[in-house]
Amino acid sequence: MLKSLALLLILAVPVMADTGQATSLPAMSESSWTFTDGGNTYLVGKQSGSVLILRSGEEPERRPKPRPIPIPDTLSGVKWMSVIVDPSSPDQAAWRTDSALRSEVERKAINYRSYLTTESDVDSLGFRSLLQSTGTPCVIMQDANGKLVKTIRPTSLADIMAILEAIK
Amino acid sequence: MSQPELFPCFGDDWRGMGNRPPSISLKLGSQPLADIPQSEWVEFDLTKSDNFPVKIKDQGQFGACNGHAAATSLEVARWIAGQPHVELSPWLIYADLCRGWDTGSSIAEALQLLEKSGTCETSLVPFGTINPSSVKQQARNDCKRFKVEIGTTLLTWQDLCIATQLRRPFNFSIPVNSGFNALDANGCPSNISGRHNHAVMGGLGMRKAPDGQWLIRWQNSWGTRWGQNGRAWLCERNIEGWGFDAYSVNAATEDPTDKQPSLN
Repeated sequence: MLKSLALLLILAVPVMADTGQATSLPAMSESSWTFTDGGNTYLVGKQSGSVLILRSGEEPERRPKPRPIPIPDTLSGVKWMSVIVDPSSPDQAAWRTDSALRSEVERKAINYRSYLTTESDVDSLGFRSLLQSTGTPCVIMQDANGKLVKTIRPTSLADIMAILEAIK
Repeated sequence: MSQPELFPCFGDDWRGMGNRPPSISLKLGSQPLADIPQSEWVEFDLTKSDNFPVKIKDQGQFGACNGHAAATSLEVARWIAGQPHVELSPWLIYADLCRGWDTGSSIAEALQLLEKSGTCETSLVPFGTINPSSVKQQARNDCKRFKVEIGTTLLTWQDLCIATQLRRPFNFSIPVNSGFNALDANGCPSNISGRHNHAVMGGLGMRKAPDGQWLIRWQNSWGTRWGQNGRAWLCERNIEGWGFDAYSVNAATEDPTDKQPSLN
């Protein structure tokens, strides 16, 4: 029954437009009848008769894309890369053992370490205050003597791979 | 003094077990496990990684399962942390725990020892060493390098799954009895509910079986001829029984002789 009604209304719109009875008002901006069928939502303008169909899973507004984190084009002198992760995040836990990441650090001959924020080594290595100012997760890059080269807060594994790519 | 329990695993070849409850009630670890809903669990298998270096150990007919499980957990934790692989001695741990009497040990005590005293490279303590006075000074010196941080006491099947999702290796007890050697279609032992007389290391991966239940990858210390090249899958039914004990390993502490430089 609803399908028939929806079909009727959809077909009705061009007919009304052709006869000049419909206006170009978007259905959402006027009072409308709303019903759902087959997972889709139909909004029918009470004045214009125009129909707006929101398909299943479709969102009327687009979400803004996350801004990419600022990663320098080139990072030089990096000999140690430490990835410090949230101990309660399974996503970040998975970064620690990611095969592609491991292969890339090996290829670039970088010493790689991964820590949980709660580990005592984070304190003994002097990372705590830097971690607090950068936030979690955190990538700390040092030269061969331990001098800080750069610290970055990644949002994803892809960010860490991009950081690795920038290391020359 | 009683002898360790043995279980036939390859015809006439028998293997020891040796897990017993801790002598005192222990509640280890201070960091609560995060609550990760099942809808967020994902499948993975660390043993499939090209660079996964941790081998299967073999305790022979000694009741040294806990020394072996603890050393294996530390090796896995070191790999997760990115530390270079070193094969670690299960015998130093067991010798210090059993003090020359091959009567088994507990998971909690093995991990406590590994947190406090550590263990050494496997080459420094010969197979079957159970007398702590036989351990050479070189091995004692070396054990300062390899220690763990204990995570938390795992109380339920859900806890084991969450620890695995968080890439925390863990040591757990399992009842070895009829059907233990026969793996079912999912790769899980066909053991039945019983006394938790064996300790092993788990948390190497997870997958969803065709019937919808989650399985955990673990490894035994009975050599590579047992199970799937020494490993198997674990389902919730496998840990039914009495005396269940499990603890996660949070981390492997940095080797002070091969430590990354402090920030300066």
